[in-house]
Amino acid sequence: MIETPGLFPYLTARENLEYYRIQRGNKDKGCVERALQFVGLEGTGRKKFKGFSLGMKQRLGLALAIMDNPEILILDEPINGLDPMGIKDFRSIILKMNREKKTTVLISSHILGELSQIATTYSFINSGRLVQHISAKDLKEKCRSFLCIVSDSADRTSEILKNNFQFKNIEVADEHTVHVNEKVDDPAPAVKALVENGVMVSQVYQSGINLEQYFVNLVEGKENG
Amino acid sequence: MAKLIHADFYKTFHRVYFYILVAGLAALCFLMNYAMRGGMLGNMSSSVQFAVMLLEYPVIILPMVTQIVFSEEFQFHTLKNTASYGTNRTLLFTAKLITSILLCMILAAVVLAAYFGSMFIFLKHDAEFTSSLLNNFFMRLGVSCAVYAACITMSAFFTVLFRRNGLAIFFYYGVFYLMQYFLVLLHLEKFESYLLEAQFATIRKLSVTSFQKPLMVSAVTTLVFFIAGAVAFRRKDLC
Repeated sequence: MIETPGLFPYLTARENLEYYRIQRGNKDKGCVERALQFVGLEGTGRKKFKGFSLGMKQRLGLALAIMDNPEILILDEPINGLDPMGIKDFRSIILKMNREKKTTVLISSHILGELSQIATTYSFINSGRLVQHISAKDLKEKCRSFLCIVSDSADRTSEILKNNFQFKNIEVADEHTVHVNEKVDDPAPAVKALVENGVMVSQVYQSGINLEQYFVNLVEGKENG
Repeated sequence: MAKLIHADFYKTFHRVYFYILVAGLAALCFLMNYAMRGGMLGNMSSSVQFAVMLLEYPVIILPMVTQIVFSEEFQFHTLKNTASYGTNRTLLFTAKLITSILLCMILAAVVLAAYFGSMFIFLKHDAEFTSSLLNNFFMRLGVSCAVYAACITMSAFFTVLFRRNGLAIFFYYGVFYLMQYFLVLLHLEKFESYLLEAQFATIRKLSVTSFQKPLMVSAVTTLVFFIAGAVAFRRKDLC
């Protein structure tokens, strides 16, 4: 599916798909109805394509792409121009396709935030060159969130956290800053323990990078690790 | 290729445009014979002879058919769906050209039925209306069909070449009607007899022995514009 779908405005959803079913020599007449049901357009009736919203048009384009039950589906900028509800619907259809039909979906998109919600593997391309190919798990690790504690003594802070909470994943960033990669959601007990042990805590905050920042760092030659 | 042609027929018959075109032309035929009744030309033989004079005019309608088959695909960016599926472009172009020709044949059948039907309804039978007169007409019509096919191929080429429908039609009519003046300008009048428009003058002549040239010119023109159209289509950006 290439960007916005090109379909005949004077035909209905069914007629558009039927045209391509005939053209592709697909003898299974039920594939049209199944494709429409899968994307939630079975109730469009006699409504012509020109009367569809952008979200409906994108879904019909997707129905056309999946009509022949492909093993691999390539989508080029499929969610450009969609509103949040349209993006949510489109995302759920893609996930459903992968789950139920075991279809491998290759999505080309600049909307990195959306990709982060569905992709299992990422390929970063810059100026036509593949810069990195990485799994979602590894990428998450590289973009991980951590608790940043700024105090008067990073070494003392690190020692107290290790002794009192058995934290194993602690980085001393500099003489005043410690990064803790465990129990990020619950910093209060750690802060209390530090204060009770005489550590002057000046800042405590969550930190990390999102997919967009990761990509920017990557193409600018830096990588967060 | 049959699948491609079948699909284009499905698309064409599921819209009103083609039926309006057919109905409009059929109504025009009825009107012509109705207008001739009662006058000096109000007999069947005159109607058939008049039909021979009209053989050139379907050329005007042909771009409307290529517009249905070709232009709309460019206009609505639907060709990328077919190309991305892996369909061979030359095959696609050939199938659409055949579809255009077949649609014109359907159009012609309906128009002829309307014309001769209204002729039998409105006009009186005369002694000169014989089977040989009809044979003569259909022979000229048959040769004209070869010229129509060449015109369709030419129209398809311009449609592929120019994204804008208006520009394609302008060049189509320009090449068909104005090329003779262009040749005069270039002092190439000797090639005038090889133009498509000139073939209708040959077809209209009373003698039926000189139909080889129209057929040959039509065949060569069809081949040239088919090759040019297929090459242009292969290189065209379809997105």
